[in-house]
Amino acid sequence: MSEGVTSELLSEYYEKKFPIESFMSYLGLPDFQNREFGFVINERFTRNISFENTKKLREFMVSNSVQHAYVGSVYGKPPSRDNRIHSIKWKYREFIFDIDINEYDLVRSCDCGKYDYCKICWPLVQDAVIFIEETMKEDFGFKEMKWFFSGRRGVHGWVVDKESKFLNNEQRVSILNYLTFIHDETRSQSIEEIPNEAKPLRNRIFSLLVKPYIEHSFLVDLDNPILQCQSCKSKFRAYELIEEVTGRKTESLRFSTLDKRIQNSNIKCKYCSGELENITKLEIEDFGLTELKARKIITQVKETTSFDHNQYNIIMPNDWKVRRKMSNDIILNRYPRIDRVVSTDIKRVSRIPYSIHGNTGKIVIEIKDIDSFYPDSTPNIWEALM
Amino acid sequence: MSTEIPDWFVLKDPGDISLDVESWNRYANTRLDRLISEDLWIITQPSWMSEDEWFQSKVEEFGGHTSLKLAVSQDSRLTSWLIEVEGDLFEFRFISSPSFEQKISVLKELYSQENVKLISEINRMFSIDIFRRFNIAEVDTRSVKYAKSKYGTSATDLNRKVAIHYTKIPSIVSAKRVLLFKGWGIVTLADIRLAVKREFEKQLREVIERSKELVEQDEGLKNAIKPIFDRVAEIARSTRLSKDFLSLGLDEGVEILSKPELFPPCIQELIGILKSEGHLAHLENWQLGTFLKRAGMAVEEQQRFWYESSIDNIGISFEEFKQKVNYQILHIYGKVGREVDYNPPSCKTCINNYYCYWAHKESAKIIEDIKTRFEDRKGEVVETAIEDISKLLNGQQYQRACARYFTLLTGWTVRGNHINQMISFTRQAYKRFYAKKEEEKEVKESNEDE
Repeated sequence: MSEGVTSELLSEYYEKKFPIESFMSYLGLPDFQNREFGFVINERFTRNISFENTKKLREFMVSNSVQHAYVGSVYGKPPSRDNRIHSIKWKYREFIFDIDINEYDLVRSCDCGKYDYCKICWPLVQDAVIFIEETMKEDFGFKEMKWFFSGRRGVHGWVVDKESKFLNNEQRVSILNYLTFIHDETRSQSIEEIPNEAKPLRNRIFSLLVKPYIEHSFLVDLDNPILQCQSCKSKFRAYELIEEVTGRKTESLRFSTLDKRIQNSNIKCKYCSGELENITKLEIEDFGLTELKARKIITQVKETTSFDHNQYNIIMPNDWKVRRKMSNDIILNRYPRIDRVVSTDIKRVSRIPYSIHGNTGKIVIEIKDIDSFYPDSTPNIWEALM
Repeated sequence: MSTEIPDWFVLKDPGDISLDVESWNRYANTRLDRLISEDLWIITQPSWMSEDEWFQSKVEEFGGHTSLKLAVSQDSRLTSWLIEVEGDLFEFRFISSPSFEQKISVLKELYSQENVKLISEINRMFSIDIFRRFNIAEVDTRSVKYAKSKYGTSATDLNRKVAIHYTKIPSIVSAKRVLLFKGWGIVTLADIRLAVKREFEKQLREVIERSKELVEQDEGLKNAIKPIFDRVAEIARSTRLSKDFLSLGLDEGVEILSKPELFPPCIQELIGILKSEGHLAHLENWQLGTFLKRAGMAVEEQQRFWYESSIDNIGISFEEFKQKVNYQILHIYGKVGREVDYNPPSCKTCINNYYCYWAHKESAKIIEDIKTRFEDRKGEVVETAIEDISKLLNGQQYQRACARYFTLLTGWTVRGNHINQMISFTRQAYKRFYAKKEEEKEVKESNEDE
């Protein structure tokens, strides 16, 4: 437990402030007594618990000062120590998505580590929410989704439609597979090609992800190229190095001018005097683009306010190799990375909306507008009890 | 659409048909003969056939199918076999049924009415034009491989599209081979043909499982279907075993496991690792799986083998385990995916990519193994063999080392002085040990007769 989140505070919150009615409006009262709950109490996780009614649930949370509270599936009988969930019949569970910012660790361009987030990387989660919600509504026909802050570094998306509760494991896996393009996310990150048949999905990738990709992830060093020493492999920011050596402020140079400047001023590696190579230029070549074309793409995308897949088709060169490379890079850097097990494991427990995250003291609030939501602005237990 | 469900769709309610138990045997035998000769047939009423004759042929169709279902319900292996052959027949009939409407009515029967819609119905439902909205053609321009195949030219409407609720086609949704719109998967019939077949097989399995109880409670019924059961058992066994081993007189695929000395050392080693550690690397699974298939093990037998050997089964039942590994095993048998009946990898491939006992195990350990395995042999013979094998291993001649081991094991020399295929190793070893014994037995018996 975080030092400040004391047992007394937790009990007080669950007694006076926990809006159990709002939480129940997502779950529904029928079958409440057969619903599994799980809690972390005194740093120990316990599950297979059920309650006759919401009053008893609240009493339990207050008297035990639960640090983390989770809700699971509905079963044929009330789960208990004697009726453990693996021995009783599973009936249904809400369909939930979990997106954590640390899933993007390999592609985050900022310096954030595991539990950290910043204004540069948080938009990855915002994009994922928008993408998933649109896919669930447009492709799968669901009508409503609610998003909750997970209390630390991510968000949970609950599909509200009743029929989603009854999806079996195979159907849940199929939806997740449909949404997955990056395999082995933490290691090889291999990208699956977008099949011709999945047109809505492809259009959505280009409509929703290209703009943030071009603005935040595509050739980010173009405005200050990186030079690498061919001998000792040290890296330098081109403009800073030129300024340091020549004393002249430099910016916005075309690569040909930059090359000349380096040649004329005889700029070499600071450490071993080796030859320098413009690796940003190599990166552009790797895409199959010219410097001019790359700059043109960036400008055009940045200037467009409502970008869609048709514009993508117009802006991108009509060369399948460039397009393949580009779409792979878009998916790698900006595509939603979902914690699959949370959605597919039908017996999993998920954090209760409006409960307290015992480590951070933050409330698992509903996110009304994902575009303006930033975790730092979420209320915490101290504010709630003030 | 009010097209009737075609008569060949065996899962439909046959209506007013009463079956004469005496004729069961005959109907079942006729159906069995046609199933095993892969004489796939369609039942549509020919113009020259009278109504009575047509009714009789329907009775035979349903009678044969029903009695086979009842017969196989007593044995899970036979159930799988029947489902497989009936699935093939269903696929053929579905593809070659003469009209698009008929195919749709079968889909509606399989997936239930509310889960299958025509594109025009979807357009009306959402007031849109799907084809224009997504810039797709109503009839796919891709050439469908069935159009000019054994299914005849009537298969062209496989290019046409239909809407199926996404919950009914999870495998297609998983592969993203579908245009999804508001929960409806827009697919061509060609794309969902395999998923439809699987659904048919799933439902047939459920029906057979239900008839199991029926047969168990009725002793008379059990006796009546006994002859059919025996015949199916015999046919299923002979079609299941691979040609290589059928000629060698193995009765059951699993029998191969009782003769581990027949296995090439790589397979013996893999089985050893599997049994001791509980799992193998992915490619090693494939190597062992394809080998066991060629060695004569049926799908069910392999499922059982992996269930008993691997540690993935802790806390799960055989049925759950089957669900988990079924795809991989069916893949080996070419029943899913690209539907290729895969061969085990050659020795060269094993050396480079899979597991080769000679290439990947330490020489010292190999020598130790050989010494233990041939303890009862003459010391000199084993020593010479070890010397030969060591030299070959030093020269990286692994296939020749394997041949030398084979010679030590059987006393025979491998033609061409090296082993190319694990399966040829086994075949020859089998002949050496068992065919010879059979011969000796026969000679002995004929001598006794004289």
